[in-house]
Amino acid sequence: MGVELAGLVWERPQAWWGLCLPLLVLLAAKQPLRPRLMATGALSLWKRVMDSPGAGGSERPAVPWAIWLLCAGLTAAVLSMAGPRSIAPGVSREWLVLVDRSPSSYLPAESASDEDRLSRSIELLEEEWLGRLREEDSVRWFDGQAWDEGVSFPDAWRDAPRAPALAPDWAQWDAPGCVWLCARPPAIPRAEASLCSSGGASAPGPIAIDGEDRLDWDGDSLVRVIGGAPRRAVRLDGVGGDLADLVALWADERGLTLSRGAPSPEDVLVLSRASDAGSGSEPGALSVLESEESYGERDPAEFALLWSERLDEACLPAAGLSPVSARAPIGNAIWIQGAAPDERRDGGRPGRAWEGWLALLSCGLVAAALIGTPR
Amino acid sequence: MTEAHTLPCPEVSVDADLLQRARSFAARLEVGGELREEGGRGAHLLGGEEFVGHRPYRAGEDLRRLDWSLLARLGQPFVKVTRREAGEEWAVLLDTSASMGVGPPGKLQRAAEVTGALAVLGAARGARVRIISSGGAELFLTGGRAGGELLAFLNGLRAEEPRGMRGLVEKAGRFRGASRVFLVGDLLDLEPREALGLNRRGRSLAAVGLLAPLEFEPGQLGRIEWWDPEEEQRLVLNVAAESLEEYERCLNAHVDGWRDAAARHRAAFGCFDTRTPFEEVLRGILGG
Repeated sequence: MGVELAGLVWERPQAWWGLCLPLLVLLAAKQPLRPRLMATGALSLWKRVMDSPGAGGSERPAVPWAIWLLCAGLTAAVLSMAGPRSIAPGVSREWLVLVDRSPSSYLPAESASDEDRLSRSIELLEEEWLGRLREEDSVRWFDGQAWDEGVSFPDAWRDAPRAPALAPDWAQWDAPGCVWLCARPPAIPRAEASLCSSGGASAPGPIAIDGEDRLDWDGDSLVRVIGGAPRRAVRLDGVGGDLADLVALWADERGLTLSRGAPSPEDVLVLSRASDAGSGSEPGALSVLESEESYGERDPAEFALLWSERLDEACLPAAGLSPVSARAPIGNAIWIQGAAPDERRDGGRPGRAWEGWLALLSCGLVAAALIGTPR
Repeated sequence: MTEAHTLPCPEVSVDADLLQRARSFAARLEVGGELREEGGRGAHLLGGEEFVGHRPYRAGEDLRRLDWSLLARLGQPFVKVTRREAGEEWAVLLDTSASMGVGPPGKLQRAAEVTGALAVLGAARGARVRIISSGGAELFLTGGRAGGELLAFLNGLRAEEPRGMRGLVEKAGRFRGASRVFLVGDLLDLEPREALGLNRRGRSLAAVGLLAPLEFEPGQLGRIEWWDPEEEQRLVLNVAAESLEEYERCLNAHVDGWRDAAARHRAAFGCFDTRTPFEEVLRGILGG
């Protein structure tokens, strides 16, 4: 990704350590300027030489200009090795952060911690990546279904979605400028995207409902909690007729309570009267037209079967359930820096690479130094 | 006192090889001719000379040395070879001040070799040789042969004294009886008139100046902090083309001053790089 300095992007800033070389050359060149101490019995003669005009004084001779040229050439070579590239004006970069909002991301990062795995991933991302953004860069966030824009992580995504989400299709977004934000590193190979994974310890907790009981995983084995199943409700909001009767039977069969009151956190399905535009379905909610409330002249069995399938499909699982695979430990945090995004594809040119010119300059300066060295 | 370990070449290392070389040199000198007297004017017989033999006449020699009777008999010119009477005293004044530790090759090392060779030479000629170092050490060789005692004395020398040749010259009374006086050092701490004042009638004087290559021909060394190990003074200077040119002028002026003064006082003088073997140094001073 490089480092920005002096209006340029330096692809290999570690090469700057090479600047020690011209400094060492200059220090070595100054050494002979310290006078050598030599014994003589003819000091009286040298004193006469010193007193005579035009016989050369004792002033410190300068470092030969050839040495200065050599140091300048070495400096140019080191800067060339650092890979400088200018930033084309008016060009910005677009980053895409894919966020895994599946249930395992919202499990605790440590067994006795309030911080979930996703929050830990966000902290790691801010530490390793956000500081490298340029002012003109744009950032988009995608969780597999919804998009958001902005430099900061969308606050609304810090809470687990009521309907369990799936992880994004990672393979579709393995490109320069993409960042994978997750709890567990995806199993598929990654080529160009950056990876930010929180890792995490094991997260014991509920994994399934069995009738009125709840099955928990304690880190080693399954534990049946008698009567531990959470209370779950189906709420009818303005829906009646045959459908209401069917919903009551369906709910009873599944251990759900029927509610017609105010919304509650226990609601796993809400049926409401649809507008004239039409009915719809989304996880945890069904909108029903008035005409759909009764089976009319249709076969009652077919009506019941159809609606049972729709109810099962729309019904949310109990809150807080995650399979054992999601609750198992997933190792340490990982940050792998991938490729930076290409410049905008709207015609902006990438910045000019200066390393070739600097290499040429270096060769010229060294040649001049060699030519200028007294033979 | 200077810390000797900071000087590049403060010590002396000589062995029996020096004695062998010196004796060979003395023999060659004997065959090739007698010692040069009084500033290189050519030898002539002086009072107290001992006749030791003949050698062929060489063109340009003083005809007063020609053996006319031998010429009449043989029809070929020969000159008489003489040496001073046995019993004359030589004084070798050796500078062992800290500046003699400059090198390599070390000035004191070369000076010790020259001194040792002079001692061998003098002993071979039957002279008594007194070696006096500026550090106070003294050796008096008699009996006609210089050997282990001389080597031990020379190996014990060390370039560490704060005073050099000037201190020796001021104590001329210690070698009042010497008929030949040799000054061996870098001569950088001495004015010619101070040394040449030792010369007098009946005495010959020779001054040997030894400089390390760093002092003789420094080369372009860049920025140097020169350090005087005797006075602990320091001087920072860029040793480049301009300063080298000026240094050469100053050094030449110093050497020329000595040469001219020596010529006026009929003394022998030579200034040598310490890379020069002692044989060449003595040949330059003594002739032959």
